[in-house]
Amino acid sequence: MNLRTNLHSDTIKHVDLSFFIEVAKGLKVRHAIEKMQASQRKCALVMDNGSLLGIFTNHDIARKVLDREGVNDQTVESVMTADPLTLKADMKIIDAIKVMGEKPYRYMPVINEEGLVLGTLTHYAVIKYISDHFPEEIYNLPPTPDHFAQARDGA
Amino acid sequence: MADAVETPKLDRKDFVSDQEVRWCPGCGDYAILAQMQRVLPELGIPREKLVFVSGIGCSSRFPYYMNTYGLHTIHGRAATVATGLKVANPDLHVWIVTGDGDALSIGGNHLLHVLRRNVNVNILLFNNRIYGLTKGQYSPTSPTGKVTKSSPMGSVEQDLNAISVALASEATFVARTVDRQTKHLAEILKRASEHQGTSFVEIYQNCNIFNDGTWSFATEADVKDDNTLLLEHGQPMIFGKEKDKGIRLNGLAPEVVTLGDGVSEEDLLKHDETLDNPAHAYLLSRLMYPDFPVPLGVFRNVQRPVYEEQVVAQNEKAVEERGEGNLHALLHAADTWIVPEGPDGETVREVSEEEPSLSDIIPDISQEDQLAPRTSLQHFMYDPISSLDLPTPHSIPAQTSLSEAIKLMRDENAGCLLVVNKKQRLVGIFAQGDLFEKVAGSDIDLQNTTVAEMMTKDPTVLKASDPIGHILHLMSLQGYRHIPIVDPDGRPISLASFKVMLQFTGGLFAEPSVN
Ligand code: SF4
Repeated sequence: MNLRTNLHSDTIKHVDLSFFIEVAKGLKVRHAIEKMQASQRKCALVMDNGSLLGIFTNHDIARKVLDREGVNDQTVESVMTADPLTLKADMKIIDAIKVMGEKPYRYMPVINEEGLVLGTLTHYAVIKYISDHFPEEIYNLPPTPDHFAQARDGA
Repeated sequence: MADAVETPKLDRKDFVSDQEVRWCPGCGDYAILAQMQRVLPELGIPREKLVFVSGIGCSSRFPYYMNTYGLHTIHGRAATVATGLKVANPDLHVWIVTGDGDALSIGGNHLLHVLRRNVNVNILLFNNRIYGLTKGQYSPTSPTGKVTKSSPMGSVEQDLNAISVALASEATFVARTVDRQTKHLAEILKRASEHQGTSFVEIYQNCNIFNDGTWSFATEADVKDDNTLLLEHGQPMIFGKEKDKGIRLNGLAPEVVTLGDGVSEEDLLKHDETLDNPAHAYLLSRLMYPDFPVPLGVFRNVQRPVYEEQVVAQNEKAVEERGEGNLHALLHAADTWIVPEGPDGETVREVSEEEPSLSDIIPDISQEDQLAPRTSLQHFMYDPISSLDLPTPHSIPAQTSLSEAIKLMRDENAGCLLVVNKKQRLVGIFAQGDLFEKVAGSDIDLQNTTVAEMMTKDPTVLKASDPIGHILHLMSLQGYRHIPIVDPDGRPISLASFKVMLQFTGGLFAEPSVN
């Protein structure tokens, strides 16, 4: 299991793309936020009959909603990022990581060959994908770094 | 009383004890501990209602590391102690932590009975197919032919399948998961906790010292999807990296088929965990590597009356009908007598001063020996955080108002601000995630609320000398997007984020091969 090889051969389809919800166009900002909070997803794709109009994330909430008057009652289209950058499902993970490092987006919708939304690539999911390659070094660690014993217990 | 006492919301750190963890570095037990500590706060059970009971073995050290009640009992007897505990205090949430030796060999008998009685406890069987604590002898789940210290020419014994044993013992909830599949593990722990009656969970656990890679067919990224079958209630059994294979029944025998070529999803076996007849679950338990993918998930989940509820009900009925009993009267009712104390009192075993100490017998396994990294990348995980080029964080005082903080985040394009006290020590972290969870959609007055009220208090931090692996540990297991790095006095010096770690990994692996 070699991370280098896998990053260059696996496509983003192999990463967990499920960290998002879909909301319909016309929904009020307030209700979009409620839906996101209830499902604990910080990213909502704004859809119009199956096609992607835009993306609305907690980043947008922090920048365009919170300290602005009246935004909560507008439609989600008015604050979403329209026509967001999308990635193709057959993109190699290493290339997606490059895009994530360069662009300011934490969430990028992934589109299949037919142009349909397959999911959303998130920073977290890629971190998880990388960590999956080092279970001993990453998952199998004590709760805090100074919790290691000098000697193992045993007979 | 009019005032309801608010139960404090617990987080992961509330379940971490102050005990030094004495498992070998890299042991799969750590991953299970981490998920338990992550899942428990979500279940909302007060700490004083939780008890971890264990027997003997590496896994049985678990109770020490949980900041809850715990009992490290005797070999194989965790199930008996837990049964007693549950009958005496039915409102406790009892977890049994055991291993393949403790549960299936020494405690085999007790396992059968706790399962058939359906005591409302959760059993976690860490299966590493070896005796780890005693340094590598074959166990009841070691495969036939396995060469170990106690089977130098290969074990001649038929091994036990833990799931089949549980089903044969009439268990009402039976599941299997893997130490490294952290999301699946967390999900199964939650479901086990919710089940009324005994929950039995087999966890494939890697003993990296004495049986490394025993489950690699089910854990290595390139093969695991072809060798495991994720059980989902009501779903056809499809597996494979490309999701193109399935399990079909041919008479009573399961077979692997490829989808397409005249085979459709309708032809496949469908999973139903609620079937009263355990035959379906048993058939699944017999799907074994290499002929079949091994099923992961919930095999069986049915309802049956819970043992302690019935016992308590009988007791109450008896008291109601016949009144409170009198133990003294009972003990003195029939033929009883007193054994006189001997003339010399008790004899005391003499301890010779020559007795060697434990450390003379067991050489210490130093961390270096065990952590010998196999590749330079693994090595990188042990490098200190100070070797990463991390950005300097934005710090703000605790009395900053929310509106100022939001503006600062926008102007500085910062996803997160570190909140410090007068001495510049870190007291909290305030991130877009906090805004999302606590502020968005509420009518909090942004001008008159301080970040101190909305921040995540006392966040998890790391030191510059800690290994890089810990950053990824906290990010991937706890989902923390930002981790402050602090100096020995607790003053923030840098900030690790998802983005920085991705940039870093991207740079490290930019080329398809190293020359
Ligand atoms: S001997 Fe094996 S099971 Fe025991 S702590 Fe070490 S690695 Fe874990």
